[in-house]
Amino acid sequence: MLVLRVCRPDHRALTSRNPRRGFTLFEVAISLVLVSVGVISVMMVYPMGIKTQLLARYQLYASAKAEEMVESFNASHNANPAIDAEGIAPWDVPVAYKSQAHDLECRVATHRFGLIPLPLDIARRLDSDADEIQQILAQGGYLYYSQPMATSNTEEQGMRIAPPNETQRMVIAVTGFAQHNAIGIFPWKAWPYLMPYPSAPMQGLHWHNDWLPASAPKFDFHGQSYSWEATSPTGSPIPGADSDIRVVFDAYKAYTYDNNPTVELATAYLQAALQYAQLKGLTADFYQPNPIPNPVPDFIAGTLDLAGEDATHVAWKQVQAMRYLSHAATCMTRWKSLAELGGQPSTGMGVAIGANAGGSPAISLTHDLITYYHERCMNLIMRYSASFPYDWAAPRPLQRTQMMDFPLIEFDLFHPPLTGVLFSEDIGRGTIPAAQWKPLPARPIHNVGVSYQFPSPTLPHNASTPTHTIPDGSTLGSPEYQAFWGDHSRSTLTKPFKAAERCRQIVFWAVDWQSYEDCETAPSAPVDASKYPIPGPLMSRNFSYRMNFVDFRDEQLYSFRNPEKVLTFMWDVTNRATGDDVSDAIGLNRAFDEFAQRDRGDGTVPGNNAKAREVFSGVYGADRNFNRKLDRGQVPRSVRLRATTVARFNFYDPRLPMTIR
Amino acid sequence: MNTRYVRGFTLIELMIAVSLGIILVYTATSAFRVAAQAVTTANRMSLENAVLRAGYQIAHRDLDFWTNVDDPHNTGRQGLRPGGLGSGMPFTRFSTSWPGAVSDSETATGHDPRDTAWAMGNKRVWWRGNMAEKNNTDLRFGRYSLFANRNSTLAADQFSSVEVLSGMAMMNTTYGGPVTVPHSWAYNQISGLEKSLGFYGLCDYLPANAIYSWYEPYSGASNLGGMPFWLISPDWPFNNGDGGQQTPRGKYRNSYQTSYGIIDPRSSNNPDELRDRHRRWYHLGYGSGEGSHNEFNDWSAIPDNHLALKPLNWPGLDVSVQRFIKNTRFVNLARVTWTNPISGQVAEMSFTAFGTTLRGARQQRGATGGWAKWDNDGSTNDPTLDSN
Repeated sequence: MLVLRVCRPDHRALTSRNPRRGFTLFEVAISLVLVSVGVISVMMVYPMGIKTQLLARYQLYASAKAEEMVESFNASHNANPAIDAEGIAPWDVPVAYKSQAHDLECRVATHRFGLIPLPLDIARRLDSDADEIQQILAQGGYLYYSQPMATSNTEEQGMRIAPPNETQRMVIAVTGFAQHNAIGIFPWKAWPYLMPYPSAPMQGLHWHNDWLPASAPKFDFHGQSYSWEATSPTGSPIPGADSDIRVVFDAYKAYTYDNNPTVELATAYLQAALQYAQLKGLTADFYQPNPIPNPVPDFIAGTLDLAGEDATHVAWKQVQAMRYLSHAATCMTRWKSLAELGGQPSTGMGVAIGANAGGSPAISLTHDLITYYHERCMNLIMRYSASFPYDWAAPRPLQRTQMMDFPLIEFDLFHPPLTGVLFSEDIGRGTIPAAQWKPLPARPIHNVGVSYQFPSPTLPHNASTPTHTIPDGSTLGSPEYQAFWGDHSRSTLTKPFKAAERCRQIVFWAVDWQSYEDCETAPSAPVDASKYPIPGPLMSRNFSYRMNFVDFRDEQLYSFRNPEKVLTFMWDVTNRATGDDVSDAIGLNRAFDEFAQRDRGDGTVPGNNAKAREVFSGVYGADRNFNRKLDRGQVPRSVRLRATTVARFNFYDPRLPMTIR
Repeated sequence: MNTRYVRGFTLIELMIAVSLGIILVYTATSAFRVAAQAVTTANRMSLENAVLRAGYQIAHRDLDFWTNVDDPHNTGRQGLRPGGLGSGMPFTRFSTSWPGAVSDSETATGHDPRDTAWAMGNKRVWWRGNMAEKNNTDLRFGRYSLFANRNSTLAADQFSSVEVLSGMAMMNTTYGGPVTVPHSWAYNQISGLEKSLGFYGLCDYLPANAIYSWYEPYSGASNLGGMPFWLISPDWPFNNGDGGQQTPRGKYRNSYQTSYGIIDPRSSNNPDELRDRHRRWYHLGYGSGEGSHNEFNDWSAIPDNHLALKPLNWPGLDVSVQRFIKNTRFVNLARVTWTNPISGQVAEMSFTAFGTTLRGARQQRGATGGWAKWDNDGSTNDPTLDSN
């Protein structure tokens, strides 16, 4: 025990009336402690100022980032024109994937829109208040960092080197549960199909004819093509699949594809269109009114009820008839002059169009009649598409695409799901179980018809026994209908809700994760399986082939990739010195099939596209601050860092997929 | 004798006292040094934060009011206003570049500023044409210029002649005329917007689902149907060469490989060059390189130095707001850059944000200068750049 004293007491002085003694060591120690506490307290105040300023700065960054997230979510559409959007079953195409959800987190977690998952190795080292970060990770969520460059949709390989960006020192998460919203695409049939009006029956390339029924009108035009609308797969009536269209398409094909066009073939095409109108039960008042009405009407009186509803779901017949009639009749203006067509106004006889072998009505074609056809065609389709989004018999007009062309459909979460197996090589050969909720439209869909890619008989909820088509609203209440569609009483998309019921939060923390020694060499966070592209079912192709089939295209498929993709290293860079130029190793906008030919950096070239998969998964890390140099921080990976909460922003996802202009 | 016992400090005591003194002095000095550094750092950060906040606010002011490219109170920054009839730029008054009376008539050719002008229920706004019409069309699908045309009346010589088989011989024939065309309004609006504003403005003003083409009287500048080549041919200033696509296009195809942008008026003193720059695409998408990005940035992302006359110890502040269309998205890209006055190190905060549309920005500006005054009932609104 320490017994030293600063001043030894004099025994005589103890008896003195004026004793003189020094401080004891204890007293001095106490004094020092008090002084130290005072000094340290004052010293601790100073960093508080710095901390406050840092917090203020990060709050500004957080505001800008939150604003950017909301803007890019609302202003960018998730266009992926290169993917297959429909399949026999919803699990056979990626449109039902999480990455396609109209959900802020899912939508902007791409290299184009600014949220990149922080490597899990790093994220797990971060402490936060109430351990919120670790809870999010434990629940399967991601912790994100901000991408280093602006989220401008432009090609990353052309961007300049990003200057230091302190926004990257924030980590971001979305809390709260994902919401139940409308689905963006009906995966069995990627409606709406869009066509210009007027137009011929819908036709175009078809990737794999294995799925076409034998009766499908196939032809070769820059590849295997066929006419979807002229297909009636089973020969039996399927609402929305109209076998009468075949006569129109065959005449159109003869005029357009099979021969040099002539006036005779154009006339035959017009006759076929007239025949189609007749087959739809339309009379001369429709295709040769006398006099031509002014103004030109839309639907024939009596087609719609007093409320403007098409109760019997037959309005589409007029739409389709006038669409073909207008297109075919206009072809005649290439061959006939105004004088031959009766002049304007058409007081002359016009061109006589006789009956064809199918008994088409004979008419006298005039300039004014052609103009009437065009006008009425436009009137009909514009009213039809605006009024009847739940009737799919006629394609939507390309001239007025808008969100209302797609009906409100959600998944029914309170009903046993549809189940089946993933497609593999052929019907009935798949073995991997799959399930998806039943689709639930706000109103029954009429004239569903068949899909463009898979017009063969399909049973969407059990691909092993494809014997049915999608039941349409005319079978409402039947066991067949109930087996496919959800319960309409549970439709929620048009119901009001309180903001608090759907509220989620964007949470920002500040932490210098880039000070870790492995900040750029840590592998990417595990890639959500919904980021994998997958083409529609192709005969003789198994799942692995289908995974390889889609070429990676940044500009179109940014939703289907590792969000770190453009930053990822293509090979191992751990042997390189800190600060080395690693421009050569960054993947940028290269297609992934390029990676397949690369070695791992050690001269070995893995086979079977293993390299592409390694790069896709980000196993070699990434240039996460986009300075084209290899960065390593000073903090060893064994150290935990504390993340300070910066800001929280409440939001909720829109119920419907939409973009601002 | 009372002997007083006096003794001095021992060496140990002295050393301890000195040591304690040193510790105290050192601690105090360190404390003051740390305090001074902390205060300096906090002050510097506070200053930087103030500068950063100012930059953030300036960026939002520019996003909201477009003052970086057109300042209503600074004639020195109105380089996007010059223009003549049919030859305007994004801030040229319509009364100069595209005058006309408001009318519901199909034959009205002037700008219609009404909010309801493009209501989809109005038949005059529907695009009427052959979407499959190529620049080398043989007109097998007929003459759609009969239904809608920029000219409401077409004379016989305004139709192309085509070769047809007549009897046993091929002969050239045309449609004849004159023909009164029922619809002209939409095509004249599309054309008028392009001529008045350039490509970005055209996309800004038209509805999202617009088709970017029209019919006009047949000429050497159009295909046989009367559709201008520059609107349907690949690799022309309006259309990129993507896929070699002929035929009219919507906004997506022209903005996924290439972009249209707003050019900063400070990039050139030549109004003709500025006009041309608003009528071409910039390669920023698939297959683009650093050169094309840098070129576009040089024209469209000129930073404003907002602290030109600052104390030496203040950070520098530059703000730019760049506007272009990419993948149909109207990108408003703000960059706030500040420079450390000692080290010269540059840091940047870049973000995209919602911003006022060009149409909105034009309607913020008074027709005769300054900002336009708006009231709630519209009865005493000032005329704007959009006013006829």
